[in-house]
Amino acid sequence: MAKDKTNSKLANFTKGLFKENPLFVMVLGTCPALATTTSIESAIGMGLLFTIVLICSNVLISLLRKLIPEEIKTPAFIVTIATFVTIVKMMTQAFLPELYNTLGVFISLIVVNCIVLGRAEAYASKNNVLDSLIDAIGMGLGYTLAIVSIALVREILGSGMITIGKVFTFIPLIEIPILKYSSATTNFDYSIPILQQPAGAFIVFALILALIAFINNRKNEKKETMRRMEKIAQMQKANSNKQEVK
Amino acid sequence: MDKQKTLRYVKISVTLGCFAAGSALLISLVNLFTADIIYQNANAAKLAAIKEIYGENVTYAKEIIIEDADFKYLDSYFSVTDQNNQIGTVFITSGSNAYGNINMAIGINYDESGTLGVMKLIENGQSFASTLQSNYVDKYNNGEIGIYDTSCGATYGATLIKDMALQAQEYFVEKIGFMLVDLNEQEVR
Amino acid sequence: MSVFIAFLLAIVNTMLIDNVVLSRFYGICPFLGVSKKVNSSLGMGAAVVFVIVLATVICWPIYTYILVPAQIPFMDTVTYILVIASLVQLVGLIIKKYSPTLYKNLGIYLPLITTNCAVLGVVQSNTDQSMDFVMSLANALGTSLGFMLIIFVFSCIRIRLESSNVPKAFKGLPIALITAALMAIAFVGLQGMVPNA
Repeated sequence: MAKDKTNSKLANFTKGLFKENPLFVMVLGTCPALATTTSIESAIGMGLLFTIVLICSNVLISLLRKLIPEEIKTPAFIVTIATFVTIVKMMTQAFLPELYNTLGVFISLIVVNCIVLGRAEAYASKNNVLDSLIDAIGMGLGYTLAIVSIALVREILGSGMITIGKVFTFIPLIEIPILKYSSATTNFDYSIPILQQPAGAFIVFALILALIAFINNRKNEKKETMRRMEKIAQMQKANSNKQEVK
Repeated sequence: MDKQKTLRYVKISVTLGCFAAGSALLISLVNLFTADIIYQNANAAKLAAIKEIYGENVTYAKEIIIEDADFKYLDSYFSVTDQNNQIGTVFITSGSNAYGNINMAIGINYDESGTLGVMKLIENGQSFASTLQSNYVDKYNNGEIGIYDTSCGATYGATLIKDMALQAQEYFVEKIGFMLVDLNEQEVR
Repeated sequence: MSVFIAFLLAIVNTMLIDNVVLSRFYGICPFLGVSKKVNSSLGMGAAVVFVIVLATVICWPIYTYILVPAQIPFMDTVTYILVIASLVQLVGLIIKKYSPTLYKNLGIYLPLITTNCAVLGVVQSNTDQSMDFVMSLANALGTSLGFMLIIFVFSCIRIRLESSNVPKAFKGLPIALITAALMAIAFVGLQGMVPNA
């Protein structure tokens, strides 16, 4: 009984990572995913802020779910989420000003991110606080991993180097050259600059979605083939039984 | 029935009012706590820009606010000195066009015609932000403002920057003026 | 007269050169999920134009003449999103009354205009970047007309994509995104057209 409970909580957490990944499976919240992924650091920052807002709003809405009348459900959710977004925005402006300058208006756009509103309406208003908290952590982590993966491709292939410390200024500035390097002696540049442009964001997103669809198709085909082979085996068995009876 | 309905409306409005009041209260609390830090960050950004323009070992006088309607882009200026010689004036400017806003620190060297020194972007809200410093601002530095044509190519904020630099130069020549004061001889030449 | 020309030029700038969907990335969700019917995409675009312009006209004065003098500029996001949500309800009621077929065709996409990043994005960036009222209005008109243009073009392309031979893994969303990427590259070519303004 206890093991069942922990299993279901674990399932609740991991569903946000793979099965119901908010970006790649449910395709929600694509606006910040394409706009803030020009560098890995801003993607990590965006994912972090998004997770904080999601956790706070899920917990608060779950706490208050019995007190909100049906008619004003949506405005109440919106006001809660907007409050947390404003608080997060002010804290970022004060303590991480570089991140605030990089993300710009997309911090405010977390309010209209379909994931936050969607989880509030579909899950937090119907489940208790602990489940909502786990759901929020799972979804937030899944979204962060998704946008960081897009940012990895765009930064490594697009600008040729990984830059750390530009946005999170408490880390010293390090530039790791991978595809692009210039010094007194050697000079090479194999980067693909289109990936840093808006068009490149669409391309990377499309390729990742196509890859996931390809993997899913192969899995389904394998299942289909196994099912057919089982059916054929069954039919053959039935045939041979009939032959024996005869 | 009527009483039920009015009770329902009262409940709805009270809940909405509580939500609004709660949200306003929470945000004001956080604001009290962070407003100072944001103000100090903005100041620190201006002073860091001065150091970038004129070097690490300079001193600067108190910031003087400009409130002249003719010079709408200029916000304030700092007089920068290096070992008792005034070497320039740094103007803090802000403006916006259709693509977003720009806050800049413009260094005007302390000489007769107020030649343009180095310019640094403090805040860049243009939508094609990343190329503005390298493609346009760096090209104007230490040179003639009029040389660079701002009407071809992807110019975005280039016209705005040129206008700001011209205004800063004009303000320096008209209002501050170039006075060579030799502190040993106390003479105005 | 020059103000009028600057206004028109700003609209053209925001509509074509700095297109809201293809380079600023607002409004992607409805852009990808837009129906394959040309009529409902035009109706959706018109509803978005109406909402964005009206939201700017209401929210900019609220910020400048109510929030800033009362020294609570930080309440802007909460106020804007409430105004936008109510506007979308209002637009829904109007459409339901005057054109029930359009209402049925739009279906779920009408309440989803509330969560369209373009609406809140435009209204928020107008005040974040301290634009005056004429520029804000030009920004709003340009953005929403650009959005309508892009949705219309995209729905026409998607109708033809339906009947073409797409590799299995790319069917549906991935090929739509690659199309959007090609459109984005095409619009980059308009970047040299900024006038001396």
